[in-house]
Amino acid sequence: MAQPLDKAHFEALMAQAGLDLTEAEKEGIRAASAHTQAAAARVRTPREVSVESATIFTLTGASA
Amino acid sequence: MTSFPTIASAARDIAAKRISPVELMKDQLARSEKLNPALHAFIRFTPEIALEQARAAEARQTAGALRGPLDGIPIAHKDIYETAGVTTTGHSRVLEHHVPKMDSAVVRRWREAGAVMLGKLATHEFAWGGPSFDLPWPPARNPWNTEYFTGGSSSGTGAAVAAGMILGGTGSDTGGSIRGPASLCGIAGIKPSYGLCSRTGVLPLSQSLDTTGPMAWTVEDCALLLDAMTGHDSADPSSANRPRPDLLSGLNGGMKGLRIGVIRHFHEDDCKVSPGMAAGIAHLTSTLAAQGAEIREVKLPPLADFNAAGWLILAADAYAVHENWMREKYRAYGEFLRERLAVAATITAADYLQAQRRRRELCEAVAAAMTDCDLLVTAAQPGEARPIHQMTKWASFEVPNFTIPFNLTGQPALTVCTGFGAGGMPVGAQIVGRAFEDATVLRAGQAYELAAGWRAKRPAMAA
Repeated sequence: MAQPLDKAHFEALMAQAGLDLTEAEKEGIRAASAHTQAAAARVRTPREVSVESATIFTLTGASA
Repeated sequence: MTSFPTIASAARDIAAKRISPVELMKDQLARSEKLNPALHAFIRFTPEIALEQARAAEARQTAGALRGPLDGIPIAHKDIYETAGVTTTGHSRVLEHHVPKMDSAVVRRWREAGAVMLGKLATHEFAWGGPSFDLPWPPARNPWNTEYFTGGSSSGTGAAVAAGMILGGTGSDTGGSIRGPASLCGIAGIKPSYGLCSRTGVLPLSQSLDTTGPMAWTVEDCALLLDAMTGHDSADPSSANRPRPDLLSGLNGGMKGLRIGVIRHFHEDDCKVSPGMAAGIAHLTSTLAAQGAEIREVKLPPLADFNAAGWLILAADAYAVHENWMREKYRAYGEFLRERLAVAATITAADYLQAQRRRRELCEAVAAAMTDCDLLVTAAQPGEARPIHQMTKWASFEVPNFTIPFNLTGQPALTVCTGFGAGGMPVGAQIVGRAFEDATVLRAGQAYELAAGWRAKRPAMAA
């Protein structure tokens, strides 16, 4: 399992988000960030730079 | 009238004038009001609207001008579907007093088909934060055991359908929010192909993944409801500009010639499901094989890969939706949702885009596995419902999820009840089809359901 974000980084992100949290809340949420860190590592499977995001869309022109 | 009408049986009774829509509405509303204190399936009843709509359906019945099988049928909507003039809250303090001016597209389509709205149904907060006990309304309870979880986020719909309060209802499915409650409440629910049904006027969770869909006691009823939901909506950027599909004429077409790929490693290795769930999947495949389907095994990337990509996308999308409210009204949210969204605020743009790149790879892997399969089968949940107070804040991230793979791929996926497991609690399995082959998924679900016979049993508390 990945590690949670370090305290300084986490607090900077919460400040950026404008969230005013208690110390207990910060610790609980920071601990849970281990899940998203694990997921972020898992999706970084080795791949060619040319692999496209699923968000890439196709223009369809004028509707029928 | 039978004690627990289905949409199909009630439609026949209404067409034959054996029951009036007003009588049916009053019976269903009375049952709903009687059971709701124990189930909390509804957060709001709309009796005046229901009576007005039922009377209009009755007039059409008298005139021989019924609009179709949904005319006069009592339904309800998950409280993320906007309903004109009726408070739509997302089950949240954030929108506690929000009264939309317009119906969502699906609400409008069902209304135009003649369906009778009994009220608005409980949901996890904004379709993710639940089960929560710190919201203006309590969470819904499972009719098979009211100490147990319904699944979510279409929790109220799952409970209300299982208990026979409504004959069908709307759900939404972003990571399994139709299919999960369908499994845990022992009903049918389909997440249609992404883009098949409009999302206009539905409070968003993750627009990359959100799908609207129906939930009902039977597969046939799901087909009838879905048939009234489909069709291009130019106001919804995800709406597929395709002809409306024929979901009904082939419903009883049987299984001969259909090839089913079982994703065995999902539910035996990647996340070993409960014995009851495993038995249900085996019953599904053996029943369909006996009806002429060819069963084979398929291999996909690990379930954990789908979960990682799915949850990063869902969480990041959801945070973007709620970013301003989180900044302005953090404590108006329930604890579960606000802290899940706070974690989501730590996901970087690169994390999100890597997840979307992984998504494309996973979609290609599933498509490759389906080159010689018409359908896939796997579990809908890890097992039976658990006690509601055991459901944790971080369950979304901690518990393997069998449904989110098909939100990533956008394929249609149906949960059907496959029996009863530990403690007499229902289990369900997923039948998954190719994009826009929702009719084939429904056909397989119908074939199984009619052969299996599970539909005769309702929760004892609802009788």
